[in-house]
Amino acid sequence: MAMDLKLEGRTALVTGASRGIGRGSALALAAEGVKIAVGARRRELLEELADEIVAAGGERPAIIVTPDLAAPGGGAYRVKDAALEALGRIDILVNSAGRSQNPDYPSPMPYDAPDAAWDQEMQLNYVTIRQLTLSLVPAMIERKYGRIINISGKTEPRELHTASPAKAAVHGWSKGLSRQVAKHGVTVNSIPPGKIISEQILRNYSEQQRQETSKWISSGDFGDPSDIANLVVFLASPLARYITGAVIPVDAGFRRFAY
Amino acid sequence: MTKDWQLKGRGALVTGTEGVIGRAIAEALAAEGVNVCSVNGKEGAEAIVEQGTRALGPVDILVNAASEVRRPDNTPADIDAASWQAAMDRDFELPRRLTHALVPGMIEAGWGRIVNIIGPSEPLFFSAEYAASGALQGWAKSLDREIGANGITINCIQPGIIKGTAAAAHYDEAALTGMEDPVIPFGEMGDAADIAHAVVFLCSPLSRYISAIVLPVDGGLSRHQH
Ligand SMILES: NC(=O)c1ccc[n+]([C@@H]2O[C@H](COP(=O)([O-])OP(=O)(O)OC[C@H]3O[C@@H](n4cnc5c(N)ncnc54)[C@H](OP(=O)(O)O)[C@@H]3O)[C@@H](O)[C@H]2O)c1
Repeated sequence: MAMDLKLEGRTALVTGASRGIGRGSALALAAEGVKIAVGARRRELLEELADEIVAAGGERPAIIVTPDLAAPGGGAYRVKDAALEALGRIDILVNSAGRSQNPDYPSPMPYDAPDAAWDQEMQLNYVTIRQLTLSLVPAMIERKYGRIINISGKTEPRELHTASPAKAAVHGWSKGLSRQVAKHGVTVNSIPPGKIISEQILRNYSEQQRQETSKWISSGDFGDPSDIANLVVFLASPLARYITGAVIPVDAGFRRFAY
Repeated sequence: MTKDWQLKGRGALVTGTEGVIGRAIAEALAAEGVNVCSVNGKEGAEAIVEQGTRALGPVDILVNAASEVRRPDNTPADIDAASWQAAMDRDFELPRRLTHALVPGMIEAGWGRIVNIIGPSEPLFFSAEYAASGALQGWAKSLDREIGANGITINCIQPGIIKGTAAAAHYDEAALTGMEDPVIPFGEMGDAADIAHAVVFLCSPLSRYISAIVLPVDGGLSRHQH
């Protein structure tokens, strides 16, 4: 007798689904029989993903072409409206649209970077997540089921990056929210990925930098989006009902802190 | 739709199966097709390893579930060396010894899973068992550095207040779950099955990239945000 994750027929919205961890999470949820809506700016990549899901025997996902979610102006609410229109309700929200570095600036972030650089990262990596989540949570509370899964980032910044304060904000905000909604069957968790091969990782790390970095990963290798997606699937299930307010790294021991 | 956690045919040694958590873990692994050797946490490490290898051959999975933080009989002023040592032996030394005895076989096999059920990182009263479980966290993280490249993961799970445990007997559920500022945000004590599901997940090949973590399964009981 194997385990039934009881995910069939549930609905999920996955942002950042055109590439990397979001794409992997969409594939994994669809494979469990979840009806999904996938969001990102690049439609052609979402169409490819949809074809792949259908080819694997899944139901064709709803495609949501999003605006630039690093820009202010309520893009998150448009994504929410489109997802609700397509699926009727959202049981599971995977917040994976984001980035660890702003591609328009050098790394580390210069001291004299304009405020706009900081604001954009906060908007994309925290404000959008907060807006999308809080606009979906009331209906989850009403239905007594909800799963918020944030793909965040390790809170051990090595240098000045605009994303770090936004990732820390996600963790703090999630904790407070989780305590408030837990008794209504809604869980809120964050997954800080270690080094996972994705579009931005391939952009930010040369082959040689990847080798250097691998020395600090206990397993010795970079991970795959599916490594994160497997945890997303578990957390999405009713079987993980008692896990909430947690920060759960998937990093093969990469971070330093032990507790 | 059933989930294949790809555990069929593996061998698991589970300690502490005299308690509800250990028993639920052994049952959940067995339901996945794992050959489980259940052992009482009161025996010594050598006897347990011998029993496990006799029953299973190579041990792929070790679940250390014999520890639990309970309110002690003694106070900080009168705790004697023997009860201090007993806590360290049961909650730190036993899981550490079992692990060190089984890791060489896991390295040889190129695959292994170690899951430790430990106490919370947020002491609510004085107990030597908190110190032992803190020690275990530091040790697990350091061991991962050495063995992580061999297909082995080592993780800790921190159960909240779970029905049927000795620890739960210290608490009045109504006081923990009242609507005004509930101590357990989930509103109920947990089930042993909640812990067992997390153990099955961490033991699966599908969680190969998760190691050296401390996972609270506590209905939101713990306060820190990381
Ligand atoms: N991979 C890692 O090792 C790692 C490590 C730490 C943290 N993370 C975090 O994990 C999350 C996912 O990252 P990933 O590595 O999977 O990245 P990725 O492969 O680069 O994918 C990022 C996804 O987010 C979308 N996106 C990016 N910027 C956007 C914007 N301005 N507006 C709307 N959508 C946007 C992208 O779609 P479009 O470009 O099509 O819009 C894409 O689907 C990020 O928050 C990242 O910081 C990843």
